[in-house]
Amino acid sequence: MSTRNTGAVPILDVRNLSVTYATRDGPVQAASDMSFALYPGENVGLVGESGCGKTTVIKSILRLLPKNATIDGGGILYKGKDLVKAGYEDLRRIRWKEIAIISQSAMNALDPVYRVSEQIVEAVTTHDKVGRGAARRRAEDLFRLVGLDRGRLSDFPHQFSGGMRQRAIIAMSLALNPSVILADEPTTALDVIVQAQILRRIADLQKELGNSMLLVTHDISVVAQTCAYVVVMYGGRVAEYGPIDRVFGEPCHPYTMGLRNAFPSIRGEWYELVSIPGFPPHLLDPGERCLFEQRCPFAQDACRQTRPAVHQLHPGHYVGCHFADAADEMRRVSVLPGTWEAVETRLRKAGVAS
Amino acid sequence: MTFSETWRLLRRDKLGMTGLVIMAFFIVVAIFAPYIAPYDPDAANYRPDGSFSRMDPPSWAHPFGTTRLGQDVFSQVIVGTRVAVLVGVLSAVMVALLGTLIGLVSGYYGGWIDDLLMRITDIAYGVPFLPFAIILVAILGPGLSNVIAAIVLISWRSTARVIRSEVLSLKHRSFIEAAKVSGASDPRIILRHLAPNVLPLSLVYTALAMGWAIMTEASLSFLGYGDPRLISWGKVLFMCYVAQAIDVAWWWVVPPGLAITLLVMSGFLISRSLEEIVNPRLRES
Amino acid sequence: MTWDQRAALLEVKDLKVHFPVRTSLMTQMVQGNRGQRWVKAVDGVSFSVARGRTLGLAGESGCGKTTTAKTLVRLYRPTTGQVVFEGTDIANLGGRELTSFRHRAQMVFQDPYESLNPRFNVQAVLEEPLVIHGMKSAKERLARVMETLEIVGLTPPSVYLSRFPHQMSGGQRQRVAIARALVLRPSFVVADEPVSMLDVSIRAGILNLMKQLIRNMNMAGMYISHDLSLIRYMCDRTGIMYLGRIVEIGETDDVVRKPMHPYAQALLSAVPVPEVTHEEIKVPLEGEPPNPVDLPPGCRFGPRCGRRMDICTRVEPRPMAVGNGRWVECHLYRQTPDQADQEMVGNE
Ligand SMILES: Nc1ncnc2c1ncn2[C@@H]1O[C@H](COP(=O)(O)OP(=O)(O)O)[C@@H](O)[C@H]1O
Ligand SMILES: Nc1ncnc2c1ncn2[C@@H]1O[C@H](COP(=O)(O)OP(=O)(O)O)[C@@H](O)[C@H]1O
Ligand SMILES: [Mg+2]
Ligand SMILES: [Mg+2]
Repeated sequence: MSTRNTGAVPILDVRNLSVTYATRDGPVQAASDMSFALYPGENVGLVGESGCGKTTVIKSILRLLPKNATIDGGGILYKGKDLVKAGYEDLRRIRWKEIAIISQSAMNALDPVYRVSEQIVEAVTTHDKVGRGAARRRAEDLFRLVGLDRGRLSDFPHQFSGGMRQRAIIAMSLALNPSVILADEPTTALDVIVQAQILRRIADLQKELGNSMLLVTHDISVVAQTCAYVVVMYGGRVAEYGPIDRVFGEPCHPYTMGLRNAFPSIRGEWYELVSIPGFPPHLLDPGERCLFEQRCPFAQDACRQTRPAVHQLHPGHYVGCHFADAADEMRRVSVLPGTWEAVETRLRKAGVAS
Repeated sequence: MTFSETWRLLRRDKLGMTGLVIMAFFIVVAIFAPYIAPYDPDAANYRPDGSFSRMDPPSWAHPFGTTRLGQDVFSQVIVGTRVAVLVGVLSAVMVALLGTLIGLVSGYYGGWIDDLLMRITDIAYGVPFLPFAIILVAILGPGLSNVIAAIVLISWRSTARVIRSEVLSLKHRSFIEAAKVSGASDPRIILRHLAPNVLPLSLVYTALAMGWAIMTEASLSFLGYGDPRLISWGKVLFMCYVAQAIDVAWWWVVPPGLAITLLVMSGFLISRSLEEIVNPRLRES
Repeated sequence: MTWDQRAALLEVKDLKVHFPVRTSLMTQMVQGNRGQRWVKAVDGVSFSVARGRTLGLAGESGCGKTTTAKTLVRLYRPTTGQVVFEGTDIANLGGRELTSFRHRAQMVFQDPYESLNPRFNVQAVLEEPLVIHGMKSAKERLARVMETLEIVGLTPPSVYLSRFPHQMSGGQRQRVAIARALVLRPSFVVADEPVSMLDVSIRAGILNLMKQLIRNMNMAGMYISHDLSLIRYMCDRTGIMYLGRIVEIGETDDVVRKPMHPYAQALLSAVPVPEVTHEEIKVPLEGEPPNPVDLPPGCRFGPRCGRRMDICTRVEPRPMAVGNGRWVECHLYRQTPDQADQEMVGNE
């Protein structure tokens, strides 16, 4: 987990991506001006509260968005090719074989009426020109890799526990040795032991195969342990993006600071948890203000007037806050007990409860 | 799913709304039948020249023509609506109540109560509908209440089964367990927590039962087992059959036949549409 | 076996909860009841909880945490063993006594999307327990409901009274569920993974709320989770469960700082930490626990244990006191019975 080499070329480069959903109440800007990159062999975490647009970003990459969504701008370069402009045939070739997705609803992604082995063999043979025998052997290898008993290949999905199903899904997504894995909350529904097993399997496979992973989660602990870089998303935008040591070690966005306060740790001294008061913004007509302004203990007039641009604070470390320069001071204050209570009181007066 | 939601979705469904409009139309006709019917349905009518109106084809004076006894078919159909709607509504309500109650109790308690009730349901499934109704009416004597009893005794079975399986999935939801922890008694859980949640599903089967009930009553009346004092659509057809006029007087056959078809169909349409609303899996496809 | 200094409000002794394995009618007819097999969801656990204290239960999914919790509030009946609540064994309570017990022991369920009746608004949800337990005056009930909403941080309460579950966020729903558990002012509350379905950023609020309430209302609390970092945050004492048994129990600090049972060590090391450590993810254990129907002979953790000894495949370990109110079920810490009584193997 080091910073990136100069001169390296990203395998996946998301540039100024904006996505809107048309809804009955108006357009929802689920992603706006999102930029980040994934380098070969590297893991990048995408974290944020639910509804902040993580799944939207993942789905845009493979253009799996629902019908009411449009990509309004930006590009997604995969090995130099813009996926936003790619044709259907190109995309079909890339899906699974080059970029695989472990989706959030993975629990339901297996077809209940087919044996697990048949589903993997099917996936392999439709994308790769191999015989069924070879595909079957590949499936057995994969089962071993994800820690499933080969003897259970011919089981039906309902005979698997949640953890086993999740492993089978991972086996399936890795069947074609993709260069990029998009994992959308792959372990959220599982217990800590199964989670550790699965994250470890993915890490081992990466070592062997050299693929990169974009890991979406709302659990910063998981990101802290698996990723080299992290994108902290808020309200469809990048709040902070950079090497994990910097972003978690010396956060420069008040939202990142708030997130850190909300996580308990099993190590070190016991500390009081503080949640970020209020709710994430609804993204219907967000206006010109900073999206975090309402919940931010450091908000000033400037935050209510203009939205901060995401700018580079240190090499490779980007922050979308007007006062990122004063981060040291904000960090100091952000761990004081009264800081977030004041926001709570302010929101309560304004009639917003949390 | 709340009622306002159900209603909102129902309003968007064209076929369901068609069914609802047809049903509403017949209900209105049934309520105001005596005022709408231009003649006494039992009385014989006479032509302007004073002769007996025997099997007259439709005319302005008799839009659906007349019977062999000179009765006005239009008035008979209008008044017959009352029996159809009454039988339909009463049996449907009773079927819904009985079936839902049995389903609730069976599903909630499980164990031997469930076993017992489901065996009875299986038996009810084994009984052929019309022959049973005929035998029952033959034993108890013709009469509207016996017809309804026959319908109810058979039709509750499908409601009970469906409600039971719905309860089986509901009763493990934690709001039921939470109610128990709060000290709620079994009747309270069944009536306050489970019943409102199965009601939309129960409505589906009520609408369906209404269709069946109307058809059964018509069949029984056609076969001569109807209430002798009342005019119903089935009886109009029965009279036509007895008069050996089925292949001669189309006007005597088509209006009651069409009325039966329409009303039964409206029950099925409403039921189908409600079912799609209640069961989102159907809605997607 | 009361190891708490204060008198226990709830004392569980060798509790077992077994469910019959459903077999086909055919098998039943052939075998009769002789072949009946059992899911040993909870298979002999003992612990106690005092007022003002919180006990945590941690373990992989399927180890029997939820079954234990539900038995404590008498959603399940104990198969054998005792659940002594304020001096009375609740195993066979019925009628008025059961109602009185229900007044005092409450549960908060895992999924706030499932634990509220979709057709009840907040007021109906919170008034129901009061009606059941005979608070006749509507005015009094409303006052209690408002007060409880205030306590759980749903303010101003009048705004929430008429809300239905689908009109609230997950965090708000869980607060309503907590309010329902508190509206009767119980003396014991067990919370079964109450934040696992919630967004991480709002978890802190719910956790702090529960912590505060247990302290301020002087209740006995239990908190259940597979995540020891949450247990550590919430609980004074911690029990580690594996396949229906508590394999280690002690003061949270002791258990978290220096877990003794190999399973406790594994469970602890699986918890991700929010700090960047640059350590590789350790795989504490392979596979999943076996089905609690066919338990292995000897130690039930044996087949997955990295420190398995010869004795472990033959003899089932018994709980051993290792000092400071701590008990471990593992042959690694084997002692003679009277040693266990005297010795205080501290937690250095
Ligand atoms: N199909 C859709 N139609 C309309 N709005 C949507 C749709 N999918 C997601 N959204 C909205 O877009 C925002 C981002 O959603 P999502 O990408 O799923 O967030 P996350 O994965 O971070 O929880 C949310 O406000 C959500 O309500
Ligand atoms: N009502 C039940 N009937 C039969 N088996 C059950 C029942 N409830 C739980 N079990 C079984 O008991 C074991 C423990 O389950 P549970 O208490 O839910 O574990 P946990 O909450 O720790 O995940 C599991 O093997 C589960 O399948
Ligand atoms: Mg998502
Ligand atoms: Mg559980």
